[in-house]
Amino acid sequence: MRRLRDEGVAILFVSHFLEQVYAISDRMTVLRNGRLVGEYRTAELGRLELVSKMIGTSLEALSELDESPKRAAADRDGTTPFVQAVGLGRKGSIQPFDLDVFPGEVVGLAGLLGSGRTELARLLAGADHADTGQTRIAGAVARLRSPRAAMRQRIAFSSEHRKAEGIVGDLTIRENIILGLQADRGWARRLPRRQVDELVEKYIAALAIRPANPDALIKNLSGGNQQKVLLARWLATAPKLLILDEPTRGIDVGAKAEIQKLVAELANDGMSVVFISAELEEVLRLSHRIAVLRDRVKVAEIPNDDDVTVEDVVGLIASGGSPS
Amino acid sequence: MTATTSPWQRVLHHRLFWPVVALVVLLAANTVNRPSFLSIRVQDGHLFGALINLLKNGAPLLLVALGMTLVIATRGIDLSVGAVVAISGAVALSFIASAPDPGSITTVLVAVGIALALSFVLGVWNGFLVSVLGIQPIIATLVLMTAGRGVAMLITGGQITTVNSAPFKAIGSGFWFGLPVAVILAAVVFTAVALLTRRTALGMLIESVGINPEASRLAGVKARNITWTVYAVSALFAGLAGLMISSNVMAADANNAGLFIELDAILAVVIGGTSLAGGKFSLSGTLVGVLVIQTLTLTVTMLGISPSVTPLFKAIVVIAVCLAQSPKMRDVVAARRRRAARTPAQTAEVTA
Amino acid sequence: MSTVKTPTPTSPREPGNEPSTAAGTSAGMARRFATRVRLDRRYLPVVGTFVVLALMLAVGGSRYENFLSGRVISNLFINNSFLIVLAVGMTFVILTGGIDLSVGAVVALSGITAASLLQSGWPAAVVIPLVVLIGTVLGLVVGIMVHVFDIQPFIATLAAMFLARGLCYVISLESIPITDETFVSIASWSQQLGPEWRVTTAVVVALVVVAVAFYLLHYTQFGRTVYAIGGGEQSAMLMGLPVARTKVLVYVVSGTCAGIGGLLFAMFSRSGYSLTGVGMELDAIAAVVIGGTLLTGGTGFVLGSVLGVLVLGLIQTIITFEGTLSSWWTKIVIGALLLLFVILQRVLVVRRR
Repeated sequence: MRRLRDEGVAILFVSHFLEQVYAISDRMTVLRNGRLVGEYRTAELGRLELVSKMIGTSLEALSELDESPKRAAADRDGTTPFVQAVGLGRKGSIQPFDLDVFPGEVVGLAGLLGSGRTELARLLAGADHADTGQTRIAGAVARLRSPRAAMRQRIAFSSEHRKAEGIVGDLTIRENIILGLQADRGWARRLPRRQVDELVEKYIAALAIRPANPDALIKNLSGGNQQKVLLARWLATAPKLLILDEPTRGIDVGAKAEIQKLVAELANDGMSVVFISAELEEVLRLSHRIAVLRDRVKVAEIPNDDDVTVEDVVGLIASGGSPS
Repeated sequence: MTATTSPWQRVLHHRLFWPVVALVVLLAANTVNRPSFLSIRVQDGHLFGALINLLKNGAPLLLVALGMTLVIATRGIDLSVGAVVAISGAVALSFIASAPDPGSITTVLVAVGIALALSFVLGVWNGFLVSVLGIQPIIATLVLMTAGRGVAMLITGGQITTVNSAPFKAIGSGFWFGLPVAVILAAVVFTAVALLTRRTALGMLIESVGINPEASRLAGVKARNITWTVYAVSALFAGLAGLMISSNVMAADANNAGLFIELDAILAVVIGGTSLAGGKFSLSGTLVGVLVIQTLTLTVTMLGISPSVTPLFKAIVVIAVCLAQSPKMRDVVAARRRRAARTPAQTAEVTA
Repeated sequence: MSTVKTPTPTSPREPGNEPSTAAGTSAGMARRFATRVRLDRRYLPVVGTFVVLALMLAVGGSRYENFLSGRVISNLFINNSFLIVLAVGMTFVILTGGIDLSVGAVVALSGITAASLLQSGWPAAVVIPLVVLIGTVLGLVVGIMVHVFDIQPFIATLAAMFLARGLCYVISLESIPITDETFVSIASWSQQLGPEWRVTTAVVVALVVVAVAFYLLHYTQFGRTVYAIGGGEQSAMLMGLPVARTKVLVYVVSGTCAGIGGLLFAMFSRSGYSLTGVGMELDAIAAVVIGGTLLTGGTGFVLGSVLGVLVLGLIQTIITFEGTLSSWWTKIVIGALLLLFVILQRVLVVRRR
């Protein structure tokens, strides 16, 4: 490629792998959320700076959440974590990792795109099989062979690919909301019509889903409303652990704030949440603890007290876990 | 503009509007050609008439098409139903022919039981290939489509097996309560499938698997079991259709029984508005589709055209229906309608 | 963790090598090695077909006298020449991820048209190109239905199948014998090669079709586009390949091949009959699949399809030689082989992932 460059060919190289970008490019343009962040000479931009530019350190709309959820970890001494991953891993996907999630706790996963956040979540949710290690639910070893098995253990997983792995486009809002619950009951025991209407009405109102018409096809909804319907689907199954992979990506600011508020409330009510987002402010704002991933390895885990800043996390990502 | 839809417009935009129109036109053409077409008379307590015959001859196709609808709803296709029709007829007739007492009810019941059980097993095999091994439905069922006729010939020894057994004959050409047994059986199966899919959650789960298999799996739907089941059910219905067809002529023709029935069934499903891409399915649409095909076949015969030319008319119907349903055509029509709607509105503005 | 890698002068690499992002030569070597292994995998189904063919020849040769003779092998080609042509056309369609159910009916249509036109006194020099053209036009119609109107290939070719079959019956319900002198002399031409080997016009035509198809698929942009569409239509489009044109053209190729196949069948049977070729599309599809082409598209070879046809033909030959086996075993064995190959392909695909 460099030879081509020397021959005078202009090359536009698109990647989120830092090593590649540094090895190949002379200049780089950083884009975030569809907006241009800036253009820099490779030699002049350090890796730490680049990462913070990619993730964005501008503090936006923090005031949405009045009550910071950063409770100390003191009150969970002696309690068993709801879910415990011990040496859980999958070849070519994510290196073995340990992770505990306590009831009422939000654990944030931080890392760049492709760092293994989603892969970790999929193992916890039974969407992929683990090659090594085990999962313990409330202290007992559980085999999560399928998403269905995980649902039986009250684990719900909302995928980052809303269109491909979340919504069932040609079905209505109503059907999409009850899909998980109905699948769990089996086909023979159809949810009674009245219960369905109650559930659907409740979640459309609680999550302010628009249009409020349960018969609208979900494929015609905006991204934010589709996401809310998916949240409703999982909440309807009354999970004890809710895994949210990029629940706020590509949706409008209003819906984003609503979803963040909802996550905080759910944790307050005792639900465990694993929260994944490329936006570190969001992770920091919501999480009690943050696990940092890089290149498919879990490299660090820090309690999220008031001292932790976005810069600290960025530093952990850039340095690969060693304190910078 | 779109908010106010008159009942007439709702009818016009109904999925089944054009298929039903086609059916009505065909029936009308027949009535014009032969005014006695619609008349039904009672003879020996049985109903007789062209319409009754139409239903009776359409019963096996309806059964096969019902199974096909469910398979197609899961994004699949079942090419093997014709072969299953042949195998089912061959097994039943060979068993009856070799039984000491071909006329006894017990013999016939056992024969029917064996044939249906074998059909079900064949469907389980198809389902295994598709849902467990993950082989594409077209090719997975092509295996049985190719080998199945060979198996049927193996069973009949390459002969056309014929038998004489009154109870077996009743399946295809008997009467219950004045109606042909075949029609009653098809109606019972249709009702059962309709209840099973729409009164339980099965229909929604099948559609969900057909629309987005991965999302369904993540939502906890047993996608594999559902896929497996629809193939088994499809073959079971094909087996029943095979019994009707062989009973109608009291012969098992391994080569020609159910030949092309898979194509007719797929056609009926598509005419009925169920997309081959899977997802939403319509059992009543399939019923209309079957009636359209059956009436078309009948019309060709009644008009004195050689029945062999029927494929030509089928081709025209498929092309017409597919073009009418194709997104491209819909866009063109919608654009034209919009332009037509806009022009008077603009003139009105100008005059105001 | 690591510092920024400064650009180091790397050894010049031969052109055509994939630009590897890792600069180290060892990484490049590993990649090249991996590419070679993957290439081998791609050939594996075809190698499998070849092994099956060789095994069948060996078993046949050891069991029956005169089995491994030039005469038997020549006849294998002579009796299956039309199927070879059909399978070649089908390969193009399946490589793009489509399917063509109409070929059997087109064979019948082109055969009966030829017979009927010759009977009414048209010269063979006009009739022969004309009936091939029928296939081409039907293929074009299918291609337009598939591409422009977005109708699934399965349904579009099903419609074409009904259309062609219906037209056959319109032309004639009876079998029409072909007595035209020119046509018969072309059909009956044959060349003895040595004491045992023999080729006929049909074999020559089939081999020419195979050669042309091979050239088209491997040495032209059209061929590369066919493979690219099968690998992923979206990325083929992004590469700037003429996807739309190619998607229509594969059906034209398949239709033309079916037209030629019909002509060859008419030469073979010296007649045209509206019931010929029922289920022949399935034989063609089976041959293509047994020949190692993935039905999902993107992977496969014309020569593999030829091997597939030979395997099918050899099954028939062995069953004839066996004498005691009934003809229906052919279908059962073909079904079993099809299953074997589909499962083999499935295993290969899963392992690659």
